[in-house]
Amino acid sequence: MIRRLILVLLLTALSAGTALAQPLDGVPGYVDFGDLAGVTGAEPAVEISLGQALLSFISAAAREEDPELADALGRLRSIRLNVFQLDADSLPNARKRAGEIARRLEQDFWEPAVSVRSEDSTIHMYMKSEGDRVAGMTVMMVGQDGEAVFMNIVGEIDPAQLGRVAARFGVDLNHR
Amino acid sequence: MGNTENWYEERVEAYVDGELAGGELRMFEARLELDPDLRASVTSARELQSALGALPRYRCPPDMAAKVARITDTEPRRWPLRVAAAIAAAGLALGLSLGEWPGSSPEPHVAAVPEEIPADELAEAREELALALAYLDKAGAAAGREVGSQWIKPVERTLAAVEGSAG
Amino acid sequence: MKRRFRQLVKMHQDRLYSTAVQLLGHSGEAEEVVQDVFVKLWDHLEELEEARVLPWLIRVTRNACLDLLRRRQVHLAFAVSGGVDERHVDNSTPAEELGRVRLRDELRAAIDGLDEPFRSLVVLREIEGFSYDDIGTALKLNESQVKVYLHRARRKLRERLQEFKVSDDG
Repeated sequence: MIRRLILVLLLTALSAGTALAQPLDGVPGYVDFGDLAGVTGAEPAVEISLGQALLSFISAAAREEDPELADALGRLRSIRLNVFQLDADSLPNARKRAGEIARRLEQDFWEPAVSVRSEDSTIHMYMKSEGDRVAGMTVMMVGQDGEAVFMNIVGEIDPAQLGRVAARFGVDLNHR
Repeated sequence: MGNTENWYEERVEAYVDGELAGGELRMFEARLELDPDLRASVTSARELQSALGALPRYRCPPDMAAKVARITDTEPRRWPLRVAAAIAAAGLALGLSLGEWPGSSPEPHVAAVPEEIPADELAEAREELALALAYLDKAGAAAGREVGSQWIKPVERTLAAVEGSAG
Repeated sequence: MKRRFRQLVKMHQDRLYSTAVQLLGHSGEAEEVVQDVFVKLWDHLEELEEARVLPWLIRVTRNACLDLLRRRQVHLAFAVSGGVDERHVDNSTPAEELGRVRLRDELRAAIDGLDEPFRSLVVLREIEGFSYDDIGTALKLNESQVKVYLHRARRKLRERLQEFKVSDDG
């Protein structure tokens, strides 16, 4: 018991002595959005961070009722979502930030699957390939319903499968 | 330009690099004989290849060597790793030696991933997942409206393009 | 370790400097980048296996250049003259020389106008001649992906040059 305690203390010191990085830093498919609250001037209305452990549990629990959902989730490492409710004055900053992130993604060989800039909204969808699989997906949407949405999914992704599962399993946002 | 022309145009560079093979190569060469525009593209691609290779390169200024040599006057900045390694080594040594204390457990106990999480935590996680997927669907639907098709189609085209034309 | 470091500097400094010049279009900034890269190399040399040194250097140089470009408030046109054209045989007529210089300027402008990641790939492979293997390792791409991106980059350049030609003729 004492031995364990000392090991824990030492390992804590060890981690303090090294850079305190996010666990997924450097993992292909992971995107650091930076300080979004600082850029948008607002705190997020929705902030979700689901790691591999939780996703595995949900996957296991869903296996009987929805095998496709279970399969999609079982191969994911992380789902992160930030949603900001912004007024007309703040949306340009959010758009600018999304554009900066988009350029950085392209430099890092993320593929732009969808890139839409219209008067009402800006939508970016990017995929990161690792070998012959999709290792990451990043979605940024600014302007729809006054929202700025930043989402990053890491893991072994089948975009079509994820799309089907999202359409089926997602809640109705109009009735929240 | 139709899809057929695109198919050939997209393979001009691969052809110039000698990376088309088999059926693709035969199709491309067959088309090359018949299509002057494609031949012009291949000629341009070859000229471009040559012009790129002929662009000047640059040599370091002569004083770079002296500036860089001064770098080795100081020790490499590796101390966080050294400290961490030292702590880890100390921890390991201490841990091993503590194994002989009377009353300590004879076998090392490694913290395991919990086999269960509380039901309310799982329920909360499911709700968050449903919300996250809803936003993914919303973005997909918005993108689909803008591009005039289901959003998954441009995603699949993008992925196919990355895997595709290397030959 | 000092000897290994000096050998690596001697082996790679010209190519890294040239890469930085091609990306930044500015010799002073390229010098700063290369010096910073070698400081980092000194700090990390013990961790780097021999086969990974060049890809690591390529990666760090590229990232440093892209960071600098992001921080620039104003776009700067390529502003480095001279350079060494080892492949050019100097027996051209004045008209040929003028044509060559003009093509080179148009090509520079076209490369300058490419978005990332296409621009740096053209520089790394088509101009500086790094191997697919080193580029792939540096950028965490497989060889097939490197080639796909390069083909797309060259196609974009080709289209861009065609636009220049059309606007000249028109």
